[in-house]
Amino acid sequence: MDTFVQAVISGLAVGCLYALISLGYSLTFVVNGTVNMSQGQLVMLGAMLMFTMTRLWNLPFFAALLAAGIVVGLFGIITERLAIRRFSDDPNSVGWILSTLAVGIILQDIALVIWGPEEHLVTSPVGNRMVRLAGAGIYLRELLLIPFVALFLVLLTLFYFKSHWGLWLRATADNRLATNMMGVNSNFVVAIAFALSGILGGLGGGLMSPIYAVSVSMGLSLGLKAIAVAIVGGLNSAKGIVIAGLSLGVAEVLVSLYLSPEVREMVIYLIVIAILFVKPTGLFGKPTVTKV
Amino acid sequence: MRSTKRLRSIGLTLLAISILFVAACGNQGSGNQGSSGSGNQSGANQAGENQRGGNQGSVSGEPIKIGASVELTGSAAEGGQSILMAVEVAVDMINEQGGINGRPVELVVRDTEGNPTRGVSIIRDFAQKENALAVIGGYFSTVMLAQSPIIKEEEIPFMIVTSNVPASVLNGMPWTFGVRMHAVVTARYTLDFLKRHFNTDKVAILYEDGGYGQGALEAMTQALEERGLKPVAAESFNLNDKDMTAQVTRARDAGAEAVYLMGIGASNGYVLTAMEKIGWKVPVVGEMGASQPAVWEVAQEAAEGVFVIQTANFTSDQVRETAKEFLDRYIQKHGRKPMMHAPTAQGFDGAMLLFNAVRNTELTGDIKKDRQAVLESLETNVGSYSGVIRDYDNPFSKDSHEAVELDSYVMNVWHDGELIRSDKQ
Amino acid sequence: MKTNSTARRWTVSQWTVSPTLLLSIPFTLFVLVSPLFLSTYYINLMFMIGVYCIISVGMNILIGYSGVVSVGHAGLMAAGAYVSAYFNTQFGLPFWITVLLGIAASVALGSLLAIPTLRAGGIYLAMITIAFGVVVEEVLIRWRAFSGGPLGISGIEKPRIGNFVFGLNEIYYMVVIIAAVTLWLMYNFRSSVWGRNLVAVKENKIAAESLGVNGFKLQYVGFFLSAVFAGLGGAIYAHTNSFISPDIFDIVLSIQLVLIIILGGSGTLWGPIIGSIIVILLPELLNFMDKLRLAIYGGIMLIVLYFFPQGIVGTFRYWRERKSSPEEPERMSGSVSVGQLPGFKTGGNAGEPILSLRSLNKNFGGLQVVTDLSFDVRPSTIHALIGPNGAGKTTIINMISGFYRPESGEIYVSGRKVTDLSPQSMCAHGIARTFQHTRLFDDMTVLENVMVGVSHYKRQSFLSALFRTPGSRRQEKEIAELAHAYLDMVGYRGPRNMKAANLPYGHKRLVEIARAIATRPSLLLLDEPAAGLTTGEIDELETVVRKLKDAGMTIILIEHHMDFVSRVSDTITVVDYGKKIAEGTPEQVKNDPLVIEAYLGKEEVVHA
Repeated sequence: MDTFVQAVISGLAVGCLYALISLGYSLTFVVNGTVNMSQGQLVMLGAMLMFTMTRLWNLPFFAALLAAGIVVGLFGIITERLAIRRFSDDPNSVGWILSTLAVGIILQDIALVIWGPEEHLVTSPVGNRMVRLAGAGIYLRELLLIPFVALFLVLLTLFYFKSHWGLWLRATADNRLATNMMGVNSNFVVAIAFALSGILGGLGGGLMSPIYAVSVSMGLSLGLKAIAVAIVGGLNSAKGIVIAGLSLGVAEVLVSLYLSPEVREMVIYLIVIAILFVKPTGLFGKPTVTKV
Repeated sequence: MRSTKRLRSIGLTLLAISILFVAACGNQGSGNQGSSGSGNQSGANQAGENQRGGNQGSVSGEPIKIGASVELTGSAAEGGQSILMAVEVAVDMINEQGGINGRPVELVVRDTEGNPTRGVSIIRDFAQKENALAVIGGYFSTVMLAQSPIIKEEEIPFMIVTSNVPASVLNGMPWTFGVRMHAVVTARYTLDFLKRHFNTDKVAILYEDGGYGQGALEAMTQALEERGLKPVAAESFNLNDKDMTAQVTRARDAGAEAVYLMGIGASNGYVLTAMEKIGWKVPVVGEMGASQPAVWEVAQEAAEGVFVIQTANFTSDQVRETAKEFLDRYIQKHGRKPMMHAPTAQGFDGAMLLFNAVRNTELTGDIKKDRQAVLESLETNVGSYSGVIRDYDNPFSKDSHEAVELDSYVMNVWHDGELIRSDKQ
Repeated sequence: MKTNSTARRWTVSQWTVSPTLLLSIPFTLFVLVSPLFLSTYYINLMFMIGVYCIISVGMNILIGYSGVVSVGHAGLMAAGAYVSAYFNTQFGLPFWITVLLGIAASVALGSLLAIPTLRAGGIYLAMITIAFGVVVEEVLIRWRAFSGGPLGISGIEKPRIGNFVFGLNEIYYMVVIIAAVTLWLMYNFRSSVWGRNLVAVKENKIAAESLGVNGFKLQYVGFFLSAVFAGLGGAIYAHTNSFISPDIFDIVLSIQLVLIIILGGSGTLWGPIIGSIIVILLPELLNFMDKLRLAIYGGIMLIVLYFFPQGIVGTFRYWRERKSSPEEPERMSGSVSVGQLPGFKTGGNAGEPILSLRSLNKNFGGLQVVTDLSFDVRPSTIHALIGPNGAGKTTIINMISGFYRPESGEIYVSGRKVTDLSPQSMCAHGIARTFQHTRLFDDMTVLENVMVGVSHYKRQSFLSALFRTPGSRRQEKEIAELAHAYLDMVGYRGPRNMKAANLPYGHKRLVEIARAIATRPSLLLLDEPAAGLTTGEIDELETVVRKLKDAGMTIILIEHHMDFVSRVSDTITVVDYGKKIAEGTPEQVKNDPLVIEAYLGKEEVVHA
């Protein structure tokens, strides 16, 4: 029983991170139909910045976290300007997939020169303390992920539904042309979406860094997992993404535990295919209706 | 308006491409070895220092080109960069002494990116385009496996300084030489060590699911079979995994009394933290992957007392003269201690052995003949060399292309965040 | 603009441009002669370009013609490579046999992949293919008995004839020949009914279905071909390098394959070639850098994508098209005259209605759009369907043409029940339609659009299309002639070689009608054909409609232009709020008080 509890909590912790990072994809997708394929590298950037700020500059943890989020948010804006804007007019164009991938490659290589290939772990403000829950040992720093991410999600929801900019985001997502005509600069709104997406990525990386070893090459596989979560959850459904993220985290651990770690990736991605076969727009995604 | 935009597009692209061409030609297509600044960087790209390469005439002063095939990017970058940084120190030292028979050594560096297809192209690049005399490198297993048949086809000597996949050795013979640890030898050493100090042979093999882990699994299984034994448990994990609780639980429940830890970097740390989570404390032995700093970063105290087999240790004070000198030069050049111990030591010694062999070779300027001559020198005429790892005296022969024996293996242990030489050997 | 020249430039203009021809001669010479003076380093690179070219042809068909962006084709390459390698290393079978086994495996796996993939679209589709690629890579890592695990399979034999083992040069020439053949096959495919219809499905699936085109079958063909070439490329790779491991066939490789197509130009002939050259050579050119190499590579990719958003070849083509107006195709000598076109026979009894709707009901999520609707349409008449906006007219048309399924009620065509059939089947029953907002295949020319319609009657076997047999070439000519004839029939006098997207509105409507009647329907549904037309154009439309009726066709017309409707219709059915409120001759309906009331207050005034 204790193994199960431990597994589930570990899984939820990592699932929280998946959810946080994957929401970044949804934010931009609903606004202009694109996703930033370099989100994984943005997460990496957040994590590496955390490392530099806490280890080398001795900044306090939360100040560094905030700074990491903001800096990566800026990168989100830059990515949109360079790689997305050109391609987002033509709905059929897939150029933005490749151009954001290119941005990811560039980011990763520059990061390699700056930070080198080694893996790092940032010191958590709660250190190495373990708690015992139902007989299972859990690192406090893992456990704390859950309330933290929950807090961020609440803040995000408040922003999205209660703030002025959030209103613009929702309006642009719904009908870009009309919003433009109302005098809201849709380019600006898209930039907000990408900034937010970057902030989520940066925060995700920062939150990861005291728990899971981070290095400059972590971006690709993480980004892949995160976009699978986003798509399976339904790119235009935040609720779906959060559920999918948490589920993936828990599923990964349970498959390892009860089936075999060898088949874990296989099983997970087969489930992804199965879900998309049954629901081609994701579990909670709303399919777009074409008028004949 | 439209046509100017079009012109601009074509113009910029052509400009970018022509800059590339000019740069490529100007540098004779080689990543040149120069001195690097501080920090983690390896091999900066300075054009000025090197003379014209290309022709391997017997005119003295003509550089001798040695290729370096290493992983500089990707998941294996730590090992590849370690090798390169050590080889660079060797090249510096040789060139300061006047080069080889008066000719400077020019290092041509290629990043394999951990991609076997690229590895193949790199061998042909060295053999046909760069006209390198020999190549040094070899860290990532699948790259080495892909390169071996090509090395044999192109007939160019290759000094392998870490990768020890048996198939790659076979397929590359007789052109490949090794200054490296051996998976089976390491396994045997581990079993002896565990028996000697902990009186157990109930070993659980915890291995990563890539080539490194597979090789280790096969090696340890073979070593156990030699003693009529079997592994008590064999659990694999993925390098991206964070939670190995399942695997260690199964290993513990199977009755294991020791762990053979064959992951890479941080993943080893997660195994150790998982063991801590379930409260399972048994002797743990690893080698290359367990020597990486990330192990302590992740596991912290949980890594205390973990044993790591290497061929050298650069944390403690150096015993050997060459090692002392090397470490000083290394720190001077790169501004830090080596990332990984064994690849560094092996890279340096491998380079020096190669240079010794070349020194004892009559170079005629016919590259094919010269490579054959270097091969023969390596097999018969390396001479004596006091290296970082050990003293070598014609370490290779027609039958054996391996320079490192069991007696060169050093048992280290993690203590207080550093990998130090262990009292137990 | 009729001439009697027999020059054969009546199809797609993108293949026959002289500058391309001029460039390709020295290029071909270079390719053929290079092993004589280039070292194995360069031959190896050119070999890789060739292999990538072969695979890219498949990707071009998939991405460029089918519109399916697969980011998992490395998995299909792996299937070909591994199966071929397995049978060679385990059973000693020669390359020539194992390569076929590899292709078979790749096709089987690709077919499996096609099922979930073709159900989805856009980024969801891409995700399925990504997941597929990951699963394949994982299976190869775990299934040690078959794949040798993460350390792969070594010692794969090179191709051999008798005692002669192929060296790099021989393999290179083999690859050059195979690449040339695959490019030729791709060209043939695109210029055939199969290719054209496939692109039609990509451009506008709904319109294609209404013309009887089976979207799934065609997209599967695209998948099939892409799997063949991927498996072939994988097997060749395995037997040349004598070593394969799972990490070679990772998502990065899949992304490279997509990159080749996007960089080169999706849907073009030279795209796969140019793309492969860039993707292979660019990293080599950057070899002199040991730091920031990949960053520069990414940067150049970004620059090229930014300035050439349609790929290099695609953007050049785009510029060329905008600069010069496309040439008009020479008309065929001895083209089919309108009189020779088969009449649109009803195939039923003269007395029986050709179309019967019985108690149709349709609702959308609680909103009842059509209620208990019944009416009959007599053969060879013009039957108008009018009513205020939102009355449900288009919904009725959609049900008749098979796009919507009624909740209850029945539809009969010439006495046969057709209620729940798909749009393609409806086309087979002789029903064709146009759409309220024209649905032309924008990236195809006017002529090609109509040719898609003609293909409903002019079938072409897959193999004869692929190999461009004389029979298929003759068929293509016939199809084009027929297409011209249908365009003549509707009185279309605009350019025929222009991309449909660039047509003025009125022309688009005419072309859509021509395309619809090209399927030789007995019943034609026109959804607001006069909307947006000038008075002169409406007169022309009236002529066309009358001509079609005289040829035997039955026409159902949704319209708001009352004078046009009154002049042209034999019967009018009036619907309001989904219910039939009146039916009869134009005279009867005009004076019906219910109808007047329904229209009261609207801007349309019923002429007395």
